[in-house]
Amino acid sequence: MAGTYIDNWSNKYATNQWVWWTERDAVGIAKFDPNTEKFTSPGVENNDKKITLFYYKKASAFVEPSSNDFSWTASSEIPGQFHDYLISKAIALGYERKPEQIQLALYFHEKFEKGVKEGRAYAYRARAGTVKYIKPVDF
Amino acid sequence: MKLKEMVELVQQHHPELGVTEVVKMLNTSQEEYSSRTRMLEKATQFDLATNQRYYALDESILEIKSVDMEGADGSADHINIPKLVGRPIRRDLT
Repeated sequence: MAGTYIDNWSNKYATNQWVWWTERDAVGIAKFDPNTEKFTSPGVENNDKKITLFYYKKASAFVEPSSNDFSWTASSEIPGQFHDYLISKAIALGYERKPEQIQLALYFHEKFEKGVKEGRAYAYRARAGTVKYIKPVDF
Repeated sequence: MKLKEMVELVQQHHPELGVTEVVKMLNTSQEEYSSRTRMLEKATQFDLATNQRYYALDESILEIKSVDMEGADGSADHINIPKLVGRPIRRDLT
């Protein structure tokens, strides 16, 4: 039967499988039985089983000078070849406060956008020159 | 490039801005850049708990790429488990 496998925990044939989804800033993990459409939360026998999440993350923020942890030698998690683009965005934000120099803000925003394109290409190559897995999206 | 150098480069254009303000701008820039490029990847681990279905996500997580579960197929291996399309029909908050 399609989708049937031996569930070694219960040592019998099963048609259900573990799945994950996201909801309310949390990841849900449960065993799903497609026949009954029932979800079962982890039981005692699953306690302490390790879950590993692989994810895309935001860059950690620089600590502000008011904190004791502030350091002038801190560096961004984003690779060094893209730091100029980070600076461009900050410069653009500064020029946005000066209506008489708004053209400069546009210039530096464009530079940042160029950096975003380069960064996406870099992420796409996954640093190894190989093609990265692209998640299919339904429209 | 170290933070000091980055701040100085911004201040060359905006000498009137203080360090705190420039650091805030660089943080805005970093956050947008990492969100839009999906450049930074990481993995983290936690343990399943009995009868607990939901596990809070750290705010630094932009998007989950995949999930592995120890012994998902009954072996001791860490197995990739599929993402559910949609959400469970019968909901709970545990």
